[in-house]
This record gives sequence, C-alpha cells and structure tokens, in this order.
Amino acid sequence: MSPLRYLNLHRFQYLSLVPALFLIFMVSFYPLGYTIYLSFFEGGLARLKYVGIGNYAWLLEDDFFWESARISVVYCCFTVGLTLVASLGMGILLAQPERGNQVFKYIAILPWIISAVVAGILWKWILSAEFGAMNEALLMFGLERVNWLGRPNSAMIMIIAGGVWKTLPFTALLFYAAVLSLPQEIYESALTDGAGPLQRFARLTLPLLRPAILVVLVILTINFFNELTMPLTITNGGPSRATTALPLYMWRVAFRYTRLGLGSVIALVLFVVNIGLAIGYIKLIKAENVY
Amino acid sequence: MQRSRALTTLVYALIVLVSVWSLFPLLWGVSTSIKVDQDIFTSPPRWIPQRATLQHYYSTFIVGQFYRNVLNSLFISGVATVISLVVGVLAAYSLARFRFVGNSVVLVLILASMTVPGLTNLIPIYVMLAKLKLLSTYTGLILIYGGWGIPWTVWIMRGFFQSLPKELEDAARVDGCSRLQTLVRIILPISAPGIISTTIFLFLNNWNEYIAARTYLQAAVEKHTAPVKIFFAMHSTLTQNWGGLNAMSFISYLPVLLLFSFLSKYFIAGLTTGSSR
Repeated sequence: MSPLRYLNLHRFQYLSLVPALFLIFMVSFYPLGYTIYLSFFEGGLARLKYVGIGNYAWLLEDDFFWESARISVVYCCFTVGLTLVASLGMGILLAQPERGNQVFKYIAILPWIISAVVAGILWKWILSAEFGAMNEALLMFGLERVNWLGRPNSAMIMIIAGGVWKTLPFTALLFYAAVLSLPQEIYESALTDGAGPLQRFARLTLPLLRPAILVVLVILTINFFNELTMPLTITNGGPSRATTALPLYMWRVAFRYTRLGLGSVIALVLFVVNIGLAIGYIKLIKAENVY
Repeated sequence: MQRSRALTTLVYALIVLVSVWSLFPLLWGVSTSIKVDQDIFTSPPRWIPQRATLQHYYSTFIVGQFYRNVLNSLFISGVATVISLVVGVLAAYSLARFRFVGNSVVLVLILASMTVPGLTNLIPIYVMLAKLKLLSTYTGLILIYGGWGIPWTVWIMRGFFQSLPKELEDAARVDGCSRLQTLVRIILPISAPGIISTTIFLFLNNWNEYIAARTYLQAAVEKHTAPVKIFFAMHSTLTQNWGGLNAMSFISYLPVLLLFSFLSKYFIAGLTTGSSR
C-alpha cells in the first residue's frame, strides 16, 4: 500500500491526534528546548543578550543558589519523610472497617482539594504572632507567644508542617487503595496462627506495600521538590532567605530581578534533578521486583 | 475479623485525631470569616463566633469586587477544561481503538510530556506568550491550562475506552455512522463516569493553580484569578485583614466543596488517577 493511500485510509486516526500533539508540543517539549536556548542569554524580555555559558559560570559561584539548594534538600527530606510515614498510617486507618469511616474519608481529603494559596493563608493565620490560634493556645497553657514565622528554624518547621498537611490526604488515599487490594486470605491465616496486629503489620502489610511505598516516594519527592506556592504564601521565602528553596529562587531571579537566562539555568537544574530522581526510583522499583 | 477492644479504641482515637488535624485550619478560617473584627483581634480568642456577621463577605465579594476574580477563575478554568477534554478525548479514542503506524510512538510522547514539570517551563512559556502578544490575556492562560490537561485526559480516557466492548462501535459502523459520529453518539454517552472524573480532575487543577496565573496575567489586575487576588490581598497591606482574607478563601473553595459533596465517588477516582503515571 502506498503511504498516501495508508494515510487516507486512517485519516480519522491521524487527524484526531494533530490538535493534541500540537498543544502538548507547545506547552511541554518546545518550551523545554527553549529553556536550554534561553539559558545562554541574559536580561529581560525587552533586551535579551547572548552571554554564552556566562549564566552557568555565574550560578556555580552564586552563594544564594547553593543556599537555596541546601534549603530545598532540607525541605524535601522532611516533607517527604513525614508525609510518607503519616500517609501510610492514615491509609491503613482509612481501610479499617470501623463505623463512621466514610465520613472520616470525606473530612480527611479536604486539605488536598483546596488551593495552595488558601492552605497557605489558613496556616499563616494560625501561626500569626498576634491573635494566631497557635500562640493563643500556648498562652492558655501558660506559655509565651512565639514569633513562628519570624525565626529561620521555626519558619522552616512551619512550611514543612503546612506541606505535610496539604499533601497527606492524597498519598493516604493511594495507600488506602493499595491496602484494600491486599489479599485477605493471608491475613486470615496469619490470624489463625496467632499473629498480633504489630506482627501482621511488620511481616505482612509492610512488605506487601513495598511497590506502593516506592510509587508514593516518587510522587512526593517530585511534588515537594517543585513546591513553590505554599511556602511563598506562608513565609514569602523569609525571614531573610531562610525558606527560599530552589523553585522560589528561580521565580525571583527570572521575574523579580528580570534575569530570564539565569532563571532558565535554575529551571534546567530543577529538571535534571527531577529526572535523575525519577530514574533512580524506577531502578529501585525494578531491583525490588527482581528480588 | 474480631478485634480487641483496645485496638478499636485506638482506631477511633486516631480517627478523631486526624479529623481534628485536617479540619481545624478550615474551621478556624470559617469561624474567623464570620466574626466581627473586635472578636477576631482579641486575646483570649473566641473559638466560637458570638456575634456572627457576613460583613467580611460583603466587603470583599461585593465591595472589593472579588466576584470578578471568581468569574475570571470560572471562565479560564472552564474553557481550559473543555479544550483539554475535546482535544484529549479525541486523541485518547484513536489511541485506544485503532492500530496504525506511529500509534505507540505517539502514546509514549504524550506520556513523556507528563514528566516535564510545569515549573521547568514557566520561564520559556512566559517568553513565548510575550512574543505571541498573549501575556496578560485570558487566551494565553487558557491555552496553557488547556495544554497541560491534555496528557492527563489521554491517560485517563484511553484506559476507559479500552474497557468498553468493541461490538458497540461495529454495530454503529454497520448502521452507517462515521468515526466521529460513533464517538459522539455511542461511545461518549456510556463513558460518562470517566468523563466526569476527568473533568473534575482538570477543573480542580485549573481552579487551584496559582503561579502560572500570577506570572502570565501579570499587571492585568482585572483578569486575575481568585488565588492570585487572595495572594495579593494578603501581601499588599501591612496589617492583615484576616476576616476578609478568610472570607475570600472560603468563597474560593466553596464551589469545590459542593462539587466534592455531591460527586465524591468521581472525585476520589479523579484525584487518584495521578498515581498511575
């Protein structure tokens, strides 16, 4: 069959793909290539100037970049670790046959369906130094007010707590689905063998959930590594720069200091780390399967 | 399964604890939004509002014209969702039903695009929109949101279409329907559950999005979406109007809450689809 006749025969199939491919190309692959191109230029929209590898050289020497990278690592480690453990527990909790669990499921999901800006506002209000619920609660127990968002360490702890609060329901739902799909017969035989709840968790649930745990780990790492809105809303990157992670630094460099090229280099760093993490995890998952 | 009483108690205690943790920030926000200012800024706090008022809703939604931002959000999210759906469903249907040269390559390309995080492309898309004179326009943001939703639509709907019996289409074809007619008249009506889940997933993403809206709508204040407006309302003043901010926040998630209450089954299906990538 000639190519033309083939095309004509499958006209509908090919035509139906054109709009999707075009739009996807325009919002994902083309911009990715364009990021690389832009990374060799400097300045704002009005006057982009070619500077070769100048931006890359600058970034290596940029203390703020390394500081933001360090903050990203701290933020990611704690948010991912805490969310992983808490959502595993919460997923198992959701799968319990107790009455009222339907209502519980409804309530538990709420933080995930609101926008990051709103979530940030709610946290900022609770943590407000004056009249915030947190400090008022402390006063009720006879303790002193704390300026939660005014100190580097407590501000960091609070954006971590906020991130966990917002993301927890999502991964808990994933674990919940995974727990429901576990084979019940194994549990019944474990029960007849007299295994207690802790033993059942450690010997059965945990090993069986390994694949789900790895998937959640990938999702959480990529989610938190790219998180910008909630920290921006709660602390605006402060006090001074204490909660300015890489995504926020990228945004500032590109749109506050109008250095689109330098911002593009940071975007590429983010992208490469993302891909690296994803590949690393996939290898881990494959290794697990062989074992 | 029989359980010890201690275990049951523990489960209930944990359920209460997690419920409080999830709900408290939301309830505290709603409670603040219906208090008069004197009751918001007082110590010890009034946990339950005593003089309930809608003054903060009136002063932000009507006087502060927050309703405009809600309408902007509705318009942008709605149109973008429709674009993703129409374009994505068409592609998903072809990829699910037909074997043809390039089929699997296209599928891999579409799925690969999901691995490029939106944040990486924030800057180049900004320059692209500027060159197309689409910065600070509804069109620009709608096209971006619409494009972002397509891979997800293809991913969810392709799986759905594959689960449908093929005989339906054969019958329609015999009756003389074109490919497009078969899709619209036969396949789409029975795909309603999948379409609803996808719609909710797409709309929620668009409705809650902040950073692209802020970056691409820029100084066009009259076009700002609800999250952008709330963000600026917080950062533009030194002393914060917590009553107003919480009122705007509640207004902005109320539609989502209602949707969730009535369609929670589809909602959860839509939310968890992100997992399978």
